[in-house]
Amino acid sequence: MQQPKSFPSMRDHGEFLSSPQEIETQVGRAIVATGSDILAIARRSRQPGWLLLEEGFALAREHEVESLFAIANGYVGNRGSLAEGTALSAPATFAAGVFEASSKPGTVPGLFVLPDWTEVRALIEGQELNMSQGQVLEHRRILDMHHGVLWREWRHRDVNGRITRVTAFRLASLSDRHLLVQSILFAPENYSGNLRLETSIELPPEVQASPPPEDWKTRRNATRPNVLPLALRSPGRDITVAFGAASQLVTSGHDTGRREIEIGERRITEAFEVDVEIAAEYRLDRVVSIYTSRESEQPIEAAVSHVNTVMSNGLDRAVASHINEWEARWRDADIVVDGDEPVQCALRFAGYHLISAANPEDQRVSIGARALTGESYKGHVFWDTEIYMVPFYSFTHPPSARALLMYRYHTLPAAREKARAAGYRGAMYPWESADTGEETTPNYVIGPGGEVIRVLNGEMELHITSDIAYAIWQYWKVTGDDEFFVSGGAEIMLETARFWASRGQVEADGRYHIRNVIGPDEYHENVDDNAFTNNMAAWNMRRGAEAADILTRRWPERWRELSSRLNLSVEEIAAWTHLADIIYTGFESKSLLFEQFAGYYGKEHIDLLSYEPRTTAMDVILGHDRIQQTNVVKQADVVMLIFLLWNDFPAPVREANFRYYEPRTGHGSSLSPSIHAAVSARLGDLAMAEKYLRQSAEIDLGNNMGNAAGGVHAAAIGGLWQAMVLGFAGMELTQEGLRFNPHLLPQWKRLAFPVQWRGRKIKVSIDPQSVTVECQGNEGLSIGMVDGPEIHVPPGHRCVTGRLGQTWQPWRAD
Amino acid sequence: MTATMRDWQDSLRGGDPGTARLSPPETVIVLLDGSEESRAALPVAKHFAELQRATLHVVSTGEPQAEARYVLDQLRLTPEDVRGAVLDRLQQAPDEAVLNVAQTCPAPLITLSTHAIGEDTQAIVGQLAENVLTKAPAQKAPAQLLLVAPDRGRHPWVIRRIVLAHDGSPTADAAIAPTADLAKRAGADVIALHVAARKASQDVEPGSLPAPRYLDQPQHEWPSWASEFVQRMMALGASPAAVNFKLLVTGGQPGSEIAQFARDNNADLVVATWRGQWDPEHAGTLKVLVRRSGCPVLLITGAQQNP
Repeated sequence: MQQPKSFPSMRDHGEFLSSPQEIETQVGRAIVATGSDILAIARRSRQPGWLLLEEGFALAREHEVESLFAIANGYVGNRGSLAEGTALSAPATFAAGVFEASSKPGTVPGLFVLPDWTEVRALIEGQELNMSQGQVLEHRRILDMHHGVLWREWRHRDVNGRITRVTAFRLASLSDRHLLVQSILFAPENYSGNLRLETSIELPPEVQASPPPEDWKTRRNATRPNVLPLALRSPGRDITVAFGAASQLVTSGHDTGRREIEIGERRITEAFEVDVEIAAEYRLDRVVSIYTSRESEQPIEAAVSHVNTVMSNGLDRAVASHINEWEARWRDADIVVDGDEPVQCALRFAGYHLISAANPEDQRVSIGARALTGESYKGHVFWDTEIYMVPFYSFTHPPSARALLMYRYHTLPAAREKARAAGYRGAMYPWESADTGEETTPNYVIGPGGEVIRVLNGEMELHITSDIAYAIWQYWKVTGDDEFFVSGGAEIMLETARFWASRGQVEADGRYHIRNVIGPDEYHENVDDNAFTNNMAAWNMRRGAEAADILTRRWPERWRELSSRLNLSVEEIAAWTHLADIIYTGFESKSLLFEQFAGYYGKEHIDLLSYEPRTTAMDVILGHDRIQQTNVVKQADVVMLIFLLWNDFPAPVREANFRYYEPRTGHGSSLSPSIHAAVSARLGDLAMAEKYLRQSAEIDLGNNMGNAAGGVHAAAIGGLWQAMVLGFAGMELTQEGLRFNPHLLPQWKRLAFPVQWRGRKIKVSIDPQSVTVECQGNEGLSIGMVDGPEIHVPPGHRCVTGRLGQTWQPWRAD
Repeated sequence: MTATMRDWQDSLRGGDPGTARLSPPETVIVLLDGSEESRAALPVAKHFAELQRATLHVVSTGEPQAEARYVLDQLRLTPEDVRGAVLDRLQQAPDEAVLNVAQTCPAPLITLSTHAIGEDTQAIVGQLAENVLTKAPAQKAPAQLLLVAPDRGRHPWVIRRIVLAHDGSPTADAAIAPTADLAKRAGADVIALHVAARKASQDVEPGSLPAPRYLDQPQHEWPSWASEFVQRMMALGASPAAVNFKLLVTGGQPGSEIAQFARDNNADLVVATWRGQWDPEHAGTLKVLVRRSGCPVLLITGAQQNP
């Protein structure tokens, strides 16, 4: 490859471009520049073990590949669709928190699909370069998970025999979240001729444009990489989303080329034409900035100014900064499993999408069930975030966890209103939520047989309220973030406890019952006394009372303010503890089992093994009505309770319930296998743990069945992290630090991961014979083994313990 | 896209096809042996030929030089029965004759009655149809075979409702374009029926989209899955024709579920993809369809795409 020369100086970008009030066309000399090789900068960092590869091209899999290879940074996400498009391409860009809504009855808000900014048409001698014409000689997409860069390598022979090599990358900057970069290199291998490149961003017809202010300045110099503005309003929400876009052509050839731009209210276009030479290289760089009225009063100006700044500072700096940020995040998050390549790959995939999904700078958005990788689930937020994803962030990047939990604080008014409207007190969080925190669960679904099925989750799947409280409490215990607890977390603890105290009733048997609910096992609707719901409600009420006590003692001023504003009395708080004590738990001391809900034992028994091998959910096979009459459990329910409140139950209770419910669980949800992997690992059943671990690892990656077409399963990948750290490593929180109870698979030589605990950065390395823990930070912490020795690890020190039969040797400094 | 609850009904309005489509039949071949049972295939073949504007070939075996009137008498047909058709008389075994005609005609579709002649009446198809089905793939003759149960009689055949059996595989997509094209010509509705098998095959074809393994939230999963299913169908083979199209899913044994559905919904035609094997170990679903659907079954040869 010829080394391009340096860029000419491009500092004069102070003015805005043409008035977009009317379509204007500019034609001039192309920005044919030579400059630093940003592809090389990005590519140099690629390392084996961090690359997800899709070799070749299979049209039917295109939607899955687009999801798996999506790029995102928590602010904006972009599916990995091909720039020139295919018959099945679904290019989509999402901005977190930007929803659209319709006034049509029965509709719910959905994550808004922004106009496609990635489209690039390449025409060689007037003939379009695409996959459906000519012959694909090589094609692969590579996701560099270490650096958040999506690569594409493509060699194509067109119908006239011209061979073009295309190398491209795309990124959503993690260090500068409004910034999107796309770079495509074209190399004519055996021909010379005319190459035309067209890029555009166009508003769909149904979307209202948002023109820039009237004092928008005009500049008619077409020879600069001017920034093109485009803006729209999201339907039904009136959020302005603005794009600033600029392109430049970098070449090792001699032709200066020609550049055309068109700017309209609804479409911006940049086109380049250049006479290409054999063996020369032509690189199109695109810089796109997105701002919205959610965070900027002048999003158009902000986007244009942003692109100008990035271009002035040099794209290479922007790319390097992004790469550095990804490396920093991985230093705090990467799990290493020596001896298990598929699991290692799945963990990197999980970490990649989890890091991509969160934005620590925005407290008013959360992560949807498919994150920013697909349109499915409409960007709605479920318990998935708090129970499956927040643990990853709490232990690896607390600012992200805090931002996610603050979303629940900012939507507390809507949760209060939901409780009030239903006749209850406190805060009742919605089963599904979007931007406002109001309930967004659809009321019905057209079932697989064409029948209309009423969706009851929004009314009955109440456990999300205690799930949120649980995540808040855990975050606080992990991070020691008192400021969060005092300013936001405690109020949620109090309001959720208050809700639970109003939701049930003390009945004739003297027990507190919660009726008409749906537990995590959604195969059984409108049940009474779901064990998970009731026990988590009890936990929530106890922690609410504890929060009140802690506030009283440690932050009395805040307590006075809160108790006054919420009208909380000592008697009310005492009632929470009492109700938690008398709540019906479903536990039977003789069998040691929790009955999953009242009447579960009387359901028809289904032998799930007789349905194996199976690629379809059991409710599809048996039908929606029939499955409710059976004892098939959709997903971890009592098992989830055991997992979350592990140390609240004696070992025989944990074992008995897992052994009872595991064979009755159909795993009809992607949320189920990871929790079963974690619990079976903690119980030391490694064969079963491995089975569920691999099932969990394959939910997005291992299928040919379109599971991921609508986006990656964000909860499942969060569960995978938990299976490793909280399951196989057996990590638990203690008052003064952490303790471990590792159960490694026999083929694993080492399991290593970083976690954070109250400001300390801890590196954990576990092999079959020893556990090593290193502490970094200003303070040490207590490290222990479950039922084994403990030690205080000072900052900057490393300690080791070795196996001693069934127990552990005393820790020693390493 | 506005976040509305999707109805599963949609129109196939074409788009850019991602793969080569099967050509519509230009020749419709029907084999008659003079029996009442074999004549059950004639109204079906005639109507099919009319819809496709294809040439109808009536094939029989015997002395090639025999006069047409003699042949018609032997086949118990009137001139009106074969108006517009070509009579082919070959001195070969019937299965060889029909396959030979298929090899010499453009874009052939073979129509066969599945009747048995003095054979095991429990057989799924008679020996003649069995021979054609067994030999056809090797001779690479027909891409489409239309099997007609003999008990349908000679009443006219009209297509108002087509049931398209689709297992979610790219191979099954081969049937989409011909089905949509046929539906447009006939003014018929298409119900694509996907049966979530109680037990799955261990070998799932790459690119397949069976009913979901995980239904985290059905209110989102089903609309997404249906949308994905329809989009794939459109991209991989749908006709440009605007067709009233409906996708339904049920669970159970695919053959019996589809056949039952076809009977319950008065289907006039079941379309299914055939992978070209008819030995005892293969085509279990198709055999049930042929035997129990209560209407003609169109088998469309599908080569596995995107291997």
